[in-house]
Amino acid sequence: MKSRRALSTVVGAVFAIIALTSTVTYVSYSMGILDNYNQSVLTKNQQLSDVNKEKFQISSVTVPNNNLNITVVNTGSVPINFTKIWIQNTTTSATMDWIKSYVPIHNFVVPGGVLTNIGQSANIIPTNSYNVKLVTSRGNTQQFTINSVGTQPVNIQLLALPPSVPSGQTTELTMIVTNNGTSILTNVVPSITLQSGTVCSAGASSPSKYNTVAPGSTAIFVWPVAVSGSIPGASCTYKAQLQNGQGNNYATATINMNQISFTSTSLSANTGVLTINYTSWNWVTSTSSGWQSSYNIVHGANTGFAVKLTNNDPSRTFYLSNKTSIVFATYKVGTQSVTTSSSYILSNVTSAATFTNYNCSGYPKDDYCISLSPGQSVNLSIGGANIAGSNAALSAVPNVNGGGPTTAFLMLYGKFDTSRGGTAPSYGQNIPFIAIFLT
Amino acid sequence: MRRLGSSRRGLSTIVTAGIMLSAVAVLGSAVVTWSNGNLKAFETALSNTAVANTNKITESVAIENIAFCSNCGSANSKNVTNVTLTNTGTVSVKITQIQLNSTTINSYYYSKSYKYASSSCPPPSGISACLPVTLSPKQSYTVSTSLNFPKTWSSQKPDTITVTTSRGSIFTTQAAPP
Repeated sequence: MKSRRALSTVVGAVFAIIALTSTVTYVSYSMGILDNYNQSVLTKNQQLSDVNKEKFQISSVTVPNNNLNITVVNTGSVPINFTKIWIQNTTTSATMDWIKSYVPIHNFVVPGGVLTNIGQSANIIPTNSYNVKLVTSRGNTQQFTINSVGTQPVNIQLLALPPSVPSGQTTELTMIVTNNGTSILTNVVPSITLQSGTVCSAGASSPSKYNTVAPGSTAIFVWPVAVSGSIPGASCTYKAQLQNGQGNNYATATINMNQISFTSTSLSANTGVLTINYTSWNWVTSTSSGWQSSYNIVHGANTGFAVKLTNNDPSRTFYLSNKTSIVFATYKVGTQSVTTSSSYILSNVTSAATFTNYNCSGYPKDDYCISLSPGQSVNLSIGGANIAGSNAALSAVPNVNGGGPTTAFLMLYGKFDTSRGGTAPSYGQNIPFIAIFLT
Repeated sequence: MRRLGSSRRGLSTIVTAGIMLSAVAVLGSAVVTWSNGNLKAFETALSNTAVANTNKITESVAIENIAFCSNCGSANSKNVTNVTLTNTGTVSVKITQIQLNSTTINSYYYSKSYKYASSSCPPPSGISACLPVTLSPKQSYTVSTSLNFPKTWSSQKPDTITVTTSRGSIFTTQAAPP
């Protein structure tokens, strides 16, 4: 019985070994297959991860010598190999079928590196518009346009900052261009044109262009605009667009010219725009020894006066009328009488009391001969017996009320205008003159 | 009598044991053979499935460029779209079908003058622009798809391009004609 049990055990063991061996082999094989599949999945995930890590930016695009020169910055964390450049001529609808592909010579860039001279083999015309696409070995692409703002209008805003300025001041036009498309804009060059008005003069834009504007990014251009004119309230309107942009893709802004005011009070209306320097006051007679700055003046002598007159208007030129004069006038205490006398403007009085008539040619004759530009000072000569012309002579200082303290006023007449013959409103101002003691 | 009876029992036991052993051996061998065959079949099926799936997940096609052609075929026909494909994977890929906005493409343009159906591709000389095509890793290929009259592509309207491989992988992208 012992030997029979042993035989069946052996037979069972043989079958068990066969079954176990087959099972283990199958499981091992399956595990191997699954491991290979797992490795493939991991490899695929790694490749997809690398595709997502692959990032680059177009930093500039130029066309030197009819060759494309693209500069790219690798902003990702994996090396990039550029395999192809696609170029489509988008200058007109008739050229749209011009599509070519090139294999770049310079094509490899490490993470953080800069790759230049991409596209040197592409021969293009600098004035044409092109749609360019860069393709990497991992299948990523990036598209941008050259000399074109694309087929869709971009967002353009034009702002005058500030929108209202006095004459003679400068404001700024600010153009904000937002790339609301999906491709990079290159060579973005702004353009402004004066639509209406004559009081504005725009300078050059700063910057003159943007090499690239990425989707969602903004380009800002600024122009200084000088405003000058004689008519408060005048305005000018500018239109801004992009070179090679769509005709209806533009923005406008209006600049108004206003006056300087202090808390709603016009400077020229209430404070006086013209001032004199009291320390520069001088007089001279034919018998005095040159210019005198004393307040003692001998009455009855033919006297010339000089004082420095300043135009404090920040933007407007003042034209001095021939009506400008010094008026001597006083009441003497205890009397009711008043004496007045005038000395008119001259072109010049020297220290020897010789004088030059106040006259000038052109229209209006002998009037508005002296002009003071904004901030300018002149040595104003007074003392003529007549307002102008060949009959002018030094006037004698009157003996106001028999001498003693008297006063005089500088009566200034003229206009703020852009020319002698302009039609701007007249402007008059009375400046208290220096205290005089007649002897 | 005791000896004779004892001897008979021994013989029958041996015969029975022999029969049992034979039966077990035959049945066991049959079971083992059958199970081994099944396991082999399972192994083969598993291997094929694994390889097919591995290749499927390994294959990668980049739709590199879409060029809408206005004057291919005939002037202003606007029915030809050149689709450039690149095999960015590590295994060969057989491109079997391209669809434009769910329209399966069956006609292809080799140049401005000649139009081909799938059955007539590749042309006698020059570059083929038809499907199916097998792309080796890193290889690019431009398919010149032609929509049948009166279908055309329309400016500023997005088109969906779908590429299908022989393994069933689908790659898709969108592009808008200028």
